[in-house]
Order: sequence, then structure tokens, then C-alpha cells
Amino acid sequence: MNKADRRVEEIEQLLRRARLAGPPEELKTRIVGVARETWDKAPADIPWRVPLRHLAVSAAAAVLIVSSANYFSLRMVASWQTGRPVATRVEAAAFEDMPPVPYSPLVRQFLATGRSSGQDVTALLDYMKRVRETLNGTEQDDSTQRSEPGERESRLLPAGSKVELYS
Amino acid sequence: MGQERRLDQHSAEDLIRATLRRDDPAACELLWARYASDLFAFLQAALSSKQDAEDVLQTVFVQIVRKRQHLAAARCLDAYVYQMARNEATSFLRRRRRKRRLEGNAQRDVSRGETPSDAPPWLVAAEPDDRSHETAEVLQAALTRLPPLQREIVVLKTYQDKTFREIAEMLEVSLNTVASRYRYGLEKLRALLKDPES
Repeated sequence: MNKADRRVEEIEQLLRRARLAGPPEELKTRIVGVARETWDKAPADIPWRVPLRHLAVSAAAAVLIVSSANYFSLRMVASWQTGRPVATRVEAAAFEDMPPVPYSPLVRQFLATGRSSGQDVTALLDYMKRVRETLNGTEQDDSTQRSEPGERESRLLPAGSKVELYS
Repeated sequence: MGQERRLDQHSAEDLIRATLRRDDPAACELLWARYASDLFAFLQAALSSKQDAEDVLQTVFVQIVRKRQHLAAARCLDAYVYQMARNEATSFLRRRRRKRRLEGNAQRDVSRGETPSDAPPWLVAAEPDDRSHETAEVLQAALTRLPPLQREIVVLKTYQDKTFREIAEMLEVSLNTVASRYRYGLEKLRALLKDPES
């Protein structure tokens, strides 16, 4: 046994000359009585309910956060809009009354898209007119040149256009 | 002998679990029989006061009863109960410190080993003679001046005959920590008994 161990043993022996005061009997009566009273009053907290309760609290917190974020963002946007010029609505052209054009479903779709994106209506009509003329011209060319299938020209591009072909 | 004690502990634990699952209030007595003595010792060591230990012990038992279904489902009953006791002791000390700070009366600081002279001793003489009484008083004063973890380990090892492994499980610290803190605690205690002013 080394010196340190001897010192430890000495102090352990000294400590054993005392003991802890144990819980008195009246303390048992008091505490067990209070515990039983609590038992009768408090229903058992069923473990599976705990995660459910956490889930409900989390959901409520999420709803609160999202709705408050919505509310404050709307308030912010409203404050920006006050005093600004209001956009005026322009009557759209009656595209349905236009004379029938080739590939009309495609063109109508294209026009509908163009209309929703708010493009300049006059420019669009001019463009359509040019496309229609080009297509008419191409159809005529096609009927005259059907005997030459080997040519690699675009049917959609007007003759004499300066677009380069990469194919 | 240690193995027998472990077996007894396991059977007592199983019995408590079964009673808790049945939601039988008889579990209160079983819990008292199993934990009261150890918890009381632990709380006296942690709080350095018999009266405070009694109050906190009652709070711990009430908490155990409120969370009885969690206790029944706990992996380790002892660890759960001691965790509760530790939490209660910590919050009690915090409340006491705050109260004293508000009152501007810091003369009873447990960490400095100052306990009121009129408080009942939590360490008593093993033999009923005057010299032992005096020794018990000196030992209590010295133990109170140890850091809390060292004090708890020394008390549980010396007076409750707990093994280092059991203390490690109870306090949720490593075995090496328990062994080293025990040694440091005894060294410091020796120094304090030699020179109380150190």
C-alpha cells in the first residue's frame, strides 16, 4: 500500500465515525401521504399523448407564424402601393373575329399567350400579317417546287431572308 | 454480495414498473422503500441541509407521481429518478441563491460551506459520545466546503456504500470521473481537516 492509498484509507476511517441522518418516520408519512394525494388528483399522463401534444403545439405555432408573416407582408405591400400611379386596363383586340388563318389553333394559342403577356397589340397584328403573307408565299412556292425534294430550305422563312442555316 | 444486491435492485425495479403500469397507488410505498434513503442522502449532500433535503425530497416524490407513466416506460428507473432529484436540487439552489441575492443576505452560501448554526445537522455521530459528535460537526463543515460533485460522490460512496459504477449511473458521469473526483474530494477533505482556513 503506497502513501496516497494510506492517506485515503485514513480519511475514509475518519468519515465513518459519522453517518448520514436517515429520513425520519414522520417524513415518510408526510411524503407518502402527499404522493398518494397527488396520485388521486393527477390522472396518469399517457406517454403516446405527449408527442401528439407536441405535434399540436408545433402546428399551432406554424399556423401563427405563417399567418402573421402573410399579414405583415400584405401591410408592407399596401404601404408601397399608396401614391403610385395605377395601371389602366386597355381593351384587348377581338382576336376571335379575325379572318381564319392557317394553323389557326396554334396561332390562336400564340395570340392568347401574347395577349396575356401584355404585348403591344398593333405590333403583334403587324407581325401576324407578315407571318400570314410569308406562309401564303411559302405555300405557293411549295406547290411550284414540289418536283425538287432535295432542296434544304426552310419552309417558314421567306425567300431572300438573310438567316443562316446551321444544319 | 454485490451481485445479490444488483438482483434485489432489479426485482424491486420490476415490481415498481409493474405497479406503475397498473396505475396502482401502492407504488408510492414501493418507491419510498426503494429510493427514499438514497435520495435523502444524495439531497443532503447536494444541498448541505437536512430541512432543504426534506422539502426537495417531497417535491421529487410529487414529480415522480405526476410523471409515473414516463417512469414506467423509462429505460433505467434509477437514472430517471436521480435525474429528477438532481434537477429539483439544482432549481432549488438557484431559487435560494436568487432569493438571497434579492434580500441582500449572502451569509448562507452553501458552496462556501456556510450553513446556519440553528439548522439540524445532516451528518450525525455514528457512536453516541461527545467526541464523535464533535467529529461529525467538523466533518460536516469540511464536507460542505467541497465542490458539489465531489461532495455527492464522497457521501454516496462513504455513507451509502455505493460502488463507483452505481454512482456513475446515478449521476450520469463516467466511471473515471467518479473515481478521480472521489480521490480529489478525499484529498481536499484531508487538507481542510488539517487546516480549516485553507
